[in-house]
Order: sequence, then C-alpha cells, then structure tokens
Amino acid sequence: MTEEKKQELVEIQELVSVPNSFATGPVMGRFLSEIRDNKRIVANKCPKCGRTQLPPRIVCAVCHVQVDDWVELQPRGEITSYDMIFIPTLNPLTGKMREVPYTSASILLDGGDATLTHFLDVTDPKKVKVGMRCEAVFRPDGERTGSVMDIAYFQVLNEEVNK
Amino acid sequence: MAERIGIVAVAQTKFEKKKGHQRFQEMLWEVVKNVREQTGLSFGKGQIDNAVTCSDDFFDCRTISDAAMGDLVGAHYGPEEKNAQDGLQGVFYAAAQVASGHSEITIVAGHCKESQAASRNMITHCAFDPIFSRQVGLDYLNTAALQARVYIDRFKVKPEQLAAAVVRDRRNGALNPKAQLRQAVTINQVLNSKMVCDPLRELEIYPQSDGAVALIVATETRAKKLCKNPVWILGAGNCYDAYYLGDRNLAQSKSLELAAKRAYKMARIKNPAKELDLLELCAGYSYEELLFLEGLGIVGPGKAGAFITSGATDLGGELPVNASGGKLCGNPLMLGGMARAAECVLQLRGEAGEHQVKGAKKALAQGTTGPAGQHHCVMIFSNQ
Amino acid sequence: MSKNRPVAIVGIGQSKHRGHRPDINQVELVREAVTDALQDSGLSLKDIDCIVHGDMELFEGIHQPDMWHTIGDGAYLKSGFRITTGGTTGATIACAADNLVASGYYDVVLALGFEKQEEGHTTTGITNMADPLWMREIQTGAITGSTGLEWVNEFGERAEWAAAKLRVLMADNARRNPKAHLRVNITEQTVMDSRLLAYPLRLLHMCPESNGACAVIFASADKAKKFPQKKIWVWDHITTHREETFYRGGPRKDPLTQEVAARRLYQKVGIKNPLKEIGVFEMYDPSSWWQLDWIGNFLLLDRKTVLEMVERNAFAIEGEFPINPSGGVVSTNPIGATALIRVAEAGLQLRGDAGEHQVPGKFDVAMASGFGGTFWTVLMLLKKELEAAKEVKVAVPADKTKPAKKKTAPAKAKKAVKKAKPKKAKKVVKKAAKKPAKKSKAKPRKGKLKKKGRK
Repeated sequence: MTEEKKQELVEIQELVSVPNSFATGPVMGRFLSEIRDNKRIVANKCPKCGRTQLPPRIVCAVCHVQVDDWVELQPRGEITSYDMIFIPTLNPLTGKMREVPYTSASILLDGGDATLTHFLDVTDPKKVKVGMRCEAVFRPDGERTGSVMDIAYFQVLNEEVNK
Repeated sequence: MAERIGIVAVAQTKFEKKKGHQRFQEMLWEVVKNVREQTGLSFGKGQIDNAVTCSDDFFDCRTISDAAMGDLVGAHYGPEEKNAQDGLQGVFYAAAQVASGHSEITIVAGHCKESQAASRNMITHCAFDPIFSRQVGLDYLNTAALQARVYIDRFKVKPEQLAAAVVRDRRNGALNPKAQLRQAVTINQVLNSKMVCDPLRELEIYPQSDGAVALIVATETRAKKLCKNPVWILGAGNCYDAYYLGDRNLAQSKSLELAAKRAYKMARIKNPAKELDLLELCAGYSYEELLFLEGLGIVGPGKAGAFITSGATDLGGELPVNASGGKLCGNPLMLGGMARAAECVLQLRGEAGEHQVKGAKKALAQGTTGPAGQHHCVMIFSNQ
Repeated sequence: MSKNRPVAIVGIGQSKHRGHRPDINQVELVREAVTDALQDSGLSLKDIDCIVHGDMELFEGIHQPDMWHTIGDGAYLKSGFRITTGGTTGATIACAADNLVASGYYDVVLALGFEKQEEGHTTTGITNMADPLWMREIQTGAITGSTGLEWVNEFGERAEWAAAKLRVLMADNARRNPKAHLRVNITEQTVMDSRLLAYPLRLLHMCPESNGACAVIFASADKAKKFPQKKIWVWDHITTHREETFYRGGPRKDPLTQEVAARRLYQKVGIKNPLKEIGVFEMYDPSSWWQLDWIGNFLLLDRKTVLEMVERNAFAIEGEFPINPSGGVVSTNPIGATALIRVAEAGLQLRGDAGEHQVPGKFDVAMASGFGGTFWTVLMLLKKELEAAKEVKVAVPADKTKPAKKKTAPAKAKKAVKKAKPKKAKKVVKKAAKKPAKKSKAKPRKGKLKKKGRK
C-alpha cells in the first residue's frame, strides 16, 4: 500500500510597503506649527455651538459649519479615560513593534472642552485614576518636528493620587 | 405617480498634480460647501438625509478612509456609506438609494490624491493577486500598455489616430477652468513625447492628479424645488469583466458593452450615436478613447480611430467627446467617472462656459475601475 | 417617504470560519460562501443580477479586491458594486443589497462579505484607521479597556464576572454552531485568568481574527415567490455613523450610536417594547465588555437591569431574550463578513433553520447590528411576514428596463391604489405597443398595486 501524497500547501510571503507623504493642510498645519515653534496647544472653536475641537478640523460635525476661530488651551488637564496596553503590536507608521506596557490617556485640557489623546508616563494601574491631573512634557528645542509626538508624554501630577 | 431622480448641484475642485496645501478634508469641504451653498441645504430631516462617499483605503493610506469625511457629509449621528470604486459608481448607488425610498436627498462626495503615495503605480500594483499576477510586476500602467498593444495590433490603429484623441482632449481642456492641463498640444508633440511604457507615451497617459467632486441627488419633487434646472438620471448600468488579462479579449471591452446596453435599455436609447448629444469618457490613456467609443456601440470594432480623426468627436462635431478635456487632462484614478458625471450635468444645464456643447439634451458619462477597465459604469442624463 | 418595493432574503451562506485556512486562497474562500448561499437558495449563478462586495482591503493588502474576487463570487459579466465601511461593512452591504433591490434596478442581489485576516496584520490594520497626524502613533487597534473600566468603577468585580459570564455564554452557543470559529469549552474562571490586554480587557473577552466569508441573497417579492427557499423579509434598517474623532470623556457627553440608532429605528417602525417585540438579536460584540455595555443601549435598559439579566442567563438561547445564539463576534470575526453574518444568522433564526443553535418558540422579528468605524452602528430588522409583500401578486414586467423612477408614497395606501390603478393600466398598454414583445407582458396590471411597506 502506498501512502497518498498530501498536497503541499504553498504560502507566499510579501511585505506591502508604500511610502506616503501626508499633507497637514491649513488647520492641522497650524496646530502642529504651534506645538513645534511655541510649545503651545491650540484648538479651533465652532462659531455656532462653541465647542473646542481637538484635533482641530475644518468643520464642526455637529453644526455643519466651517470653523475658523482658534483658542489656546493649557498644556495640562484632567484624565477622562485611559488604557494600559499590555500586548505589543506593530506600529503601521514605522513597521516596528510598540514597547509595552504603555498607557494612552484622554486628557481634557484646561481652557476648552476637548480632549487630547497622548501617552502617560505611568504604567502601573494602581497609580492612575480618572480625574487625575497631568501636564505635557515637550521635547526640547531643536527636537520638535511639527508632530503630536513633539510632546513626549503627559506627566501625571501626584497631588491627586490620594483622592 | 412615478418620480424621476435628478442631480441638483455639482462641484469640482480644480484638479492639480499635488494639492500639498490641503488635507483630504479641506479638499472635500471645498466641494461639499459649494453644493450646499448652491442648494441652501444642510443635514438632517428634510435636508440632505444620506451620504455616499467615494475613496479608497490605499490612496488615502487609511483604513476606513471614509471615517475622515463623516464630519463633512452629515454623518455625525447620520448615515454614510462608502463606495470604493470609480466615483461614478457612487452616483449610481446614490440614485438607487433615492429610488428605493431610503433617501430623498443624497450627497455624493468623492476625493482622491494620487500625490500622497510615492507612486500611484505602487498602489495599483497591489490590485494584482499576490499568487500570480503580482509576481509578474503588473500595475495599471503596464496593464494599460499591454491592452494598448493588443488593440493597436488587432485593428492596425495608427499612432496619429491615438494622438488625435489626445490633441482633441487637450484642446478642450484649455477651455475648462477646472482642468489640470490647460495647454493644447499638437499631434507631433504627442508622438514625440517621452516613451513611458511602450507603446504609451507621456502625453498619452493621464497625469498624476489630486481633487474632489461632490453632487447632490434628489427625488423629482425635491429636485424641482432645489434648483430650476435639475438634470435627470435616465439610466445606468455597470458590469464586471474577467479578472485575469488572459481570460479577456483585450481588443474589445465586453464589460463596457454590457454596462452600456444595460444603461441604454433603462434609458430607452436605441441608437446612442444619434440620440446622445455628448459623451464624457473616463479614458486615462489615448487608446481608451478609441476602445471605449467602440464599447459604447458608437462605432464598430476598430472604427473609432477614423471616427475621431474625421472630427466627429470634436467640440463642434456631431458627437462631442470629452468637451471637458476628460481624464487625460487630469483626474485622479478614483474620480475619473465622477468628474465625467459632473461635466455632463454642467453641459446639460448650459453652464459649461467655453467648452459648452450647444443645445445638449442627453449626455452619457462613463467610469471605469480595475485593471485594463475590468469594471465599467455608464450613466445617461437628460435635461428634458 | 416609504420603500419602493419589499425585499426578501432568499438565500444564506457562510464559509466555515477558521483561524487558519492554509488550504484555500482568497477567491476560493469567497466561492465557499457563495456556493453555500446558492445551494441554500436553490438558485444558480444565472439568477443573480448584481453582486455587492465588501471587505477591508488593507488587511490583506489587496487593492480593489472585488476585481480579483470576481473569480470566486461569479460576478463575471454581472453588475456589481463595492461598498466598504470598516467593521460595519457586512451590515452596510446588506442594507445596500436591500436598497438596490428596492430601487427596482435589480431583482436579485448577492451581498458578499469577506476577510482572510491571517493574510495580514489585523491590529495594525485597525491602528491604521487612526489619523496619521493624530492617533496613529498611539492607538492599538480596537484594544481598549476604557468601557470595562467604567463598569468596574460602578459595579466593582461583579461587572468582571458578568463580562466573563457573557463570554462563556457565547462559547456555549458557538459550540452549537458548526460554522463558528472559536468553539471552546471555557468557564468564567478561564476568562478571568486569560491574558490581560488593556485592563480590564482580557484576551478571551476580545474577538478573534478569523478567515471567513458570508453571502446573502436578496430578491424582489415577485422573484422571491418563485424561488424554493423559505422567504424572510427586510423590515427596515438604519445607519448611524459618528464624526471622525472618538469621544473620550469630557463635558459634552455623546450618546452612543447604538442607542441613537435603536431609538430612531424603533420609532420609525413602531416598536415600543424591544424586549417583547423582538424575538432574537444577533448583535455585533467585538468584546464581552462592549457586549455588556451595549445590550442596554439597544434594548433601552439601564446597566443594573442588564447586569441582573446577565447573571440569571436571560440572554441564553433558551432564555428570555436570546442574544447571539450563533456565538457572536467574540467567537467568529472575519471583519468584512462579520456584520453580514449577524444578518445571516438572524435570518436563519427567523426561518427556523439554525439547527442546534435555533432559538425555540415562535417569533416574527429578528434584529442584527453592525459596528465599526469611529463607533458606528448599522441596525437591521428582519420579519417573517410583511404586509407589503402579501400584496404583490403579479410579476412586474421587465424590471431591468424600468427607468430610474421612484414611486411616491401615497398618503393612505388603500385610497391611492384605487386612484392610481386606471393610470397604470394605460401606461402598460402603451409600453407594449412600442416595444417588440420579447416577453409576454402586454397585459394591463390586474390586482392591487404594490402597497407601500409601512404607514
């Protein structure tokens, strides 16, 4: 009796990589320039409902009108939600694996009603709570390139820890 | 009483090689704002109640590329669906949504930037299956070149005939303020332009382009109140051809023939060459100008070259083709057909300015998606 | 504004969803689902007019995949569209197929949802949905514990056990569904012990990456009446998206689209008590935490009530209100197909063809939800019988030649029928005179006109 030869299953490996160059446009362009040049966080503000928008966008999705007014927000605020990620995954912008654990948080910046999402410097679940305050830590002059990552991370301010 | 479906507003950005000064959002906002201003419409009950967007994750380099457009098209607690094919399909789908009773007024908004990726050919290369076709290094450009070669050889097409189509389009584009390429060219310039992908020369290939188009589709009752000259959708049809190039007769566009037949049937057109006043063809390459005329049944196989050189398809001819300048004057891949629809609407409203076809009553727009025009969409419009 | 004509589901098919399918390529996977649907419907490819394709192409890295997939879905020389909206895609193409048939442009439309997750990197693909200038550096796909955190903050460990209990219920259901991907035998402790992804979200709470395809065939009433399979009807559907930026806390609290969609749809069709009026709900549950959270949004219940219902297993197949008898998304998730599988499973339930995972008893309404994008919801209601469908007696002649017209909704259905009848009869006679008769259709319409679907 001869054994039937099993069909060999062939797999083709391929890396799809397409270099892209993203325009920033007038709205995000302004936001990123302010971070890079002046270490300032700005949002734009709907003329109709008054909401501040982070990231700033050309229209208010609620009111369907163009948004042209800008406000400066403080580089500090309150944590409204956060995620501590323990599982490493690929960063599609770099093709490299993310370092874990890392904490991403949603921060309601003083001066408006919009939240900014960024990294927190704390990865111990016991040391973070919704409601805590934190502050932006900018990269030094010369190292900022006009990106949200010009803020290295947000530092949790410890005065709220015991609440 | 049965209602027709009308287009009540259209807007196009000026098409440019690279719109580096805008993100997709700002580019699309330009045209969305425009059509809203034309009609006085906002979003919600009694207003625009539905949206179809056209874009593609690859060109946007963004999974769920329509997510970024939601803000602009009333999708915040509202509906939006993305048609990820040539934008004319989006117009057809929107018409179906209105015909179904699901919507009274739908906005169709498409955007595409060919400039964002290092090369649009890297993107279209990915449309080929990784098992076989991709290994051979195919992309839409060299696929078009392959089809051009088959078509030219089969019908002994002369280079002058191909160039004539380009010259015609470029001459018309010079009269269209939205066109990207606005300089006329001569037959010699076309024939002597740099060889890019044999047999296609530089001037025979549509240029890299960025832009956005928006339209508003509505029921007859609403359309008549929203503008004084709505353009009616008489018929539409689309069709897929086989995928592998070897499974197709590349000298013929079977899927365009069927798409056209379906559209003509719906629009009750028996003799397209006589009944249509103008054609807007989504030809990205010189040979497509000929091949598509044959696919639409305007002329018999292999006869398009002579038809074009006779002047019949010129702006003043018996059947003007691409009075707008067409895709050869610049439209990104995803928007070729949608821009054609916009141009048809302008023509039928008498708003085409210097490139107006006089007395136009019925117009045809064609769009194509996929390798060597695997999928075609045809729509027929009228102002009667 | 009411529906132009009623639409039935006449065929349902799925591939066997698995984590690894090294034995077939993409088009073969597509074919598996399409063949299954055709077999179920008793139809052949030539009965299909149009194919609506949906998937998320950046997962597999195939540009315009509907072109290649024509080999598997039989779209050669047929009409077709490609509609894709992220995770909601499957439900969106069901809505699209419904719209296309209802429009009168097509009589039989096949919706095809597909994903071969293992041929790409799922979480990275999802991270890629983030704005490259904003969140793409920070997001990790769909992995977030923020919803779970809200529940734990409110109910403590009780919430964690409830999420675990839901997960176990889904696994129990999946073991009764031969098509499901993860058919595991787990306990609540297994769930609580599973690897932490983002506190309190654990590996077992989270949907898997599956390879699979799903095909559902929609048809006009007059065509459907001639087809062999049991018919069920599309009652209505709603699509509710959100703006690009996620709401992540702050003073301007946004309602969830799940709730907005549910309320709007119920109001539109006249559902006052979803728990009583809906017989089964196939909901899109990307994680057990989101399932726990959204049940209340869809069924208009507060969190405490949902918790109690979970604890007494009210959502089991034999329970008070069955949810996901198929095992749900946490058991099977080929993303482009997933939301369509919800519609397919809801349809099977209504037909009584769900085999081992069939919800017992008599019920007339099934609901399916889709989720994706920046927290979007698509909701579809299916019905066993539809008043409007009963009225359709005569085959509408040559639907494909129908011009692009939309019928207006008469104010009161019965009166309008009386008024309109003589007009229509004349028109038909005229048409017959002009055209050479390919099909014998030169009869003035007898019987009532198609009545509009709802008030």
